[in-house]
Amino acid sequence: MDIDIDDILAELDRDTTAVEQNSSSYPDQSDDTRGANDLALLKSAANTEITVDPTSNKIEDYQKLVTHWRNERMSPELLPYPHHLMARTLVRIQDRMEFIETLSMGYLEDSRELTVDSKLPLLCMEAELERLKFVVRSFIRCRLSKIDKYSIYLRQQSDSPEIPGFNRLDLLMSKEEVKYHMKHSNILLKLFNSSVLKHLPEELQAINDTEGSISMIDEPDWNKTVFILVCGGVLDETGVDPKLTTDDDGKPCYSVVIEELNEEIYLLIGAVYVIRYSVIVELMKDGRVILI
Amino acid sequence: MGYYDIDDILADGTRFPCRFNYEIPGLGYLEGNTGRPISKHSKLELPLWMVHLLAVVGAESGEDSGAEEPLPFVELLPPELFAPRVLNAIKSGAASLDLHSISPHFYTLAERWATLFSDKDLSQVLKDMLLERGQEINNYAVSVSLFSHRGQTNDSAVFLQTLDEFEKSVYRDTNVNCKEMKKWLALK
Repeated sequence: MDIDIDDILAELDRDTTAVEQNSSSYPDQSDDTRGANDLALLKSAANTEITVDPTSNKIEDYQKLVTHWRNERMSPELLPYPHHLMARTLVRIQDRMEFIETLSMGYLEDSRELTVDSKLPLLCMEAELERLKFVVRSFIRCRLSKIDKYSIYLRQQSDSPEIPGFNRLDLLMSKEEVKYHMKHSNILLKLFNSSVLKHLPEELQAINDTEGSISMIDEPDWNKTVFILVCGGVLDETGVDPKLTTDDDGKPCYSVVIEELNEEIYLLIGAVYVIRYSVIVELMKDGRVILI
Repeated sequence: MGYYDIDDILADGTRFPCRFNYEIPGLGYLEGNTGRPISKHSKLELPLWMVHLLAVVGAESGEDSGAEEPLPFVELLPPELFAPRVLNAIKSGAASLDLHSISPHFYTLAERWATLFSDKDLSQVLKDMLLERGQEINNYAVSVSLFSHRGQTNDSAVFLQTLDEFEKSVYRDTNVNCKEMKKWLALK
């Protein structure tokens, strides 16, 4: 007679690692980009004193940063800025730089221990720091190029917020990016105005005219085709994924509908698809799929 | 297609044949004789950016009070670009067609035309053509030699002459990416 004791063994396993479990499974909701309506996020983002939670996992943060970076590079629109994640990362970079500096000062003092071996950790630290800084720089540059491209669109969005009394731009961009966006579009506007627009009739002077034959506002191309990897694994409180369904073969998948073709598609977990961005944008913001 | 897209602006400048449905005073300069009225049924070649509004908007006359569609200012005549002769050539062998000599902005114009008239046949022909030519473009784009500067044989040079502007940008992207990939794999 076979007795299935897998669950009992699992229980025992859990007991031994209970302490680690507590620290690592700490619900880190701060980087959730889905919170477009999350006022709490906005408030805490506005708060300059962001404390770095020592228990939050550094490796996890790095992986999240890479995911954000990748999504930003491939998506046609400007994605919400991960305020908490970036604040933590920047503080860590600062700490690391100071740490390396103090370490290398120690090398100066006692020169007798200066061998190749003792230098290796320092070299690794420096290389690692450079890698991290590269990712951050590339991420921000990519965002800036998008802000340039859609500056009129973003401006129009901020002028007519969907929720009254609530500035959407603060959620979408960091403070520096908002500053850049405002100043850059002002400079551009001044150039256009002084060189061309002031010579035109008054009704043609608008830079954001949508009534004419062609709309002057460049919107993101919502139907851009993107490559996605379906990773799944976003669980709610009850431990199940509410959006997960099963396809005809009983495999777990998400089902999405392409409106224009009226076609339903099953996205299997772990598979790669080429699909329109507008179809998967919700799943991407939840972290259920990532762009590649 | 964006407002500041240069290729779109160039494509919009292409002239299309059309016929006026009204006699309009003062517009004679379109025909070349300034100061005269433009006469009814006169045939003209006008740029697309002008024509695509004029062919939709009609004169507001008092008699027909919105009951029927007002007659637009101009009527677009079927252009040389999408004549049956051209469509048959596309259907018979899209890959060997010299698209650049038909029009350097063929796809953009065809897209506009199909949108303006909801032309299903034309869009079907376009889709097939793009697929067929896309394979050919891919073939030529991936076969790049790493070290020669030009990176093209006589064959592909001839083929490149037949691409329109949109296909050229596709070819350029593919070619550059393949080259970079090869470089990275071979040289590090």
